[in-house]
Amino acid sequence: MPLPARMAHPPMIASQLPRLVDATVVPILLVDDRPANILALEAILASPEHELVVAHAGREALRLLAERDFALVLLDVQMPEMDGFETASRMKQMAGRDRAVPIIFLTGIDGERSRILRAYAEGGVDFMQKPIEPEILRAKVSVFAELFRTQQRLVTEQAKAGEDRLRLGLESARREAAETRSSTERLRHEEQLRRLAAEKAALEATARIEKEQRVRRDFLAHAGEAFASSLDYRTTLASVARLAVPELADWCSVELIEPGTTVRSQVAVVHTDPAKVQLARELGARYPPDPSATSGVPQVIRSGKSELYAEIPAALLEAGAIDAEHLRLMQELRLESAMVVPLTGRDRRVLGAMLFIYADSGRRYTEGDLAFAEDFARRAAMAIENAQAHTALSASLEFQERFVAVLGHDLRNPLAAIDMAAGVLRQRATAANDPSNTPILDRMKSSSRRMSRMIEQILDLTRTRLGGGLAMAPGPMDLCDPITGIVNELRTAHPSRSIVLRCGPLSGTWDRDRLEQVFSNLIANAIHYGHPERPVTVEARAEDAVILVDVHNHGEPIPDEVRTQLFNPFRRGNSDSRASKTAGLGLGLYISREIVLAHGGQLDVQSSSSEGTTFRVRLPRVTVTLSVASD
Amino acid sequence: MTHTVLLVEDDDELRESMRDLLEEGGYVVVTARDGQEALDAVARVEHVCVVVLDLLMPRMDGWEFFEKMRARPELTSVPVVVQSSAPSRAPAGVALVLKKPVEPERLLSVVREYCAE
Repeated sequence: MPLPARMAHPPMIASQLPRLVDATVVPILLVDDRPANILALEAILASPEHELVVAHAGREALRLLAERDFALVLLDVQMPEMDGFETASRMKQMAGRDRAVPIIFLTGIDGERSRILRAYAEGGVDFMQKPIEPEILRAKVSVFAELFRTQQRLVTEQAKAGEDRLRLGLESARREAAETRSSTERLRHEEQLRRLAAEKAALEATARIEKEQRVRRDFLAHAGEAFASSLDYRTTLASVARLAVPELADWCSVELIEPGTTVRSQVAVVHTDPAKVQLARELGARYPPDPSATSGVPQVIRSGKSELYAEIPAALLEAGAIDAEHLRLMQELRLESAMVVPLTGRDRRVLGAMLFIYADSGRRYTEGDLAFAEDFARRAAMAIENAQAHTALSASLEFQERFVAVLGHDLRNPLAAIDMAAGVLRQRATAANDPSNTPILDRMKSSSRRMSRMIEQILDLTRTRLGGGLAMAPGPMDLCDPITGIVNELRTAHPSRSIVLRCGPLSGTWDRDRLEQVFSNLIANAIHYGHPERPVTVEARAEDAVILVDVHNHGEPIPDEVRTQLFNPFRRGNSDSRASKTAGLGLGLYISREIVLAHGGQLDVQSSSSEGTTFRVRLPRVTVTLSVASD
Repeated sequence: MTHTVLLVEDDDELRESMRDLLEEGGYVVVTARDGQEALDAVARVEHVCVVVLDLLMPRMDGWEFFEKMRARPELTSVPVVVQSSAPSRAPAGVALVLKKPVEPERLLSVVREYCAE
């Protein structure tokens, strides 16, 4: 019997396999030039099942990849010297790889479509935008970890088959040696025949197992690539069904439950004989499976349990046929053996089912085939869930964009119209020298100003929470200019209050408008919450490359339970009657801190009954935007 | 000589409120709901002292209007004041950029600057 091509190679022994690793530990390569980002990735992915290997530059990553195998590479796009795209492109060109190592690109906030497309073009299988969502990253990594484990297991099994073959040969040689000493010619001849027969059988079995394993491994690898290359899981499932035919099935179909419904839809039908695809579709259209059927796809989707029909006897078809035409169509398809496996996701949620059928080829499915199909279906389900999660995420991103547009544009027009109308009335009152409506008009004015500020704050909150952070436009300036301006404004607005200002020239590069927002918030708070008869002090000074600005007020300290929540959104210092008169959204301190952080600085508070309350802003002289925001 | 303000704004309520305010302040106001109407108006109306221009508008937006207006030599000297919710995206070359919502007093003082008696 001719040996399959693979057997021409010398048998491999497990210990000699160059890149075989412990299948329970999955090696993942983290590539990022920023230690803070590496730390974050390590924290998210820390697990006894993961071996995290770190590279701080593209070249280092390539060297590590040349030395050993990885299940996955998490690759930062923006790195000095050799960026993520170039690193990926070189990875693709690396010789001696039978398998492309999957790459997930980590991109910065600036996730334009062109970059994402380029990431795919450079061999990336996925991308994630910073800041990284830990849950999503873990889910993505788990898919590749599973794929890697299965691939490793198959390699191990194959190596073991090679060992078995060697052992057989050795044993027979040993027997032969013993026999030449003690047996008669006849016995030896019989033994020789038996030995040859056994060897032949063993070789055939090994060849069969090897072929089966190779087919399965190729299928898994290609399916893995298909899933990884696209988030359109419907198309992907169709190509997976195509991969299954003809090696794993003569006919493969995939049905999915539409998310959030019980509606089934057939996403793929593939048959070795294209003419039969039409027949299969026709069968499905004319005789749709009864959803309450106690066997087949509907039952598997309901129960989550797979079904194996090693044989499909004629009687079974006859029993299941609705009428003569139905029976004729089914007979024409020549169904011989079938498996139905559920696509089961997390929490045992059944997403759909895959149907594998052997028709004309005369093959039969076994328990082993079923186990493999179930294993594959689990992985496919995971990929489907990830894609669905991704789709949901994109939808929510679109929602956010719309939300920001509504806030930023659509709400301002009516507000401006109210403000203008109040302005017209104020003008008329002034012209007529009629002050009777002045208090009402003033309230309209201050309310619309407050509303306008709230819109700005919600917009900022949305930017910090949902989008890519606050955009900074730093320029050279003297920090004392805006601070002095704000202090003067507040002195005018609160003539009874004393504000002490100490500020020398403090030049640096900052976003003036944004810092005005910060100091206006902090100083107004100090006036608002401070002791009315004691001064508020604003002091700014340089310490090496850092500018410190302290805003201090006397009075009741901030209670501990409030202080811990102080910088959280929608919190306010206290809820006394005085505060509620000018109630805002409780976003001021949160946004102030975000602005300071975006400058690479810090905002802290100290508060005690003896010392009063001090908010301290630390700003580097030159704005360094945060790593997460700058990529 | 009249003091005519060309007011380009697609939001009806805001446009009419602004018109009321400016007329109350003694100006002649010509309004347009988009860039196309505004282009027709500048060709028709004489002595426009300032154009108050919204950016995000249907049909022809503020950017296109500004570009087309600048392409006409007889109109290059007319100052354009942008009022927008996206002030950072205002086209280069405009006289002033105001962020929506613009306070009425501010609008009056800006218009007064360009349309002094």
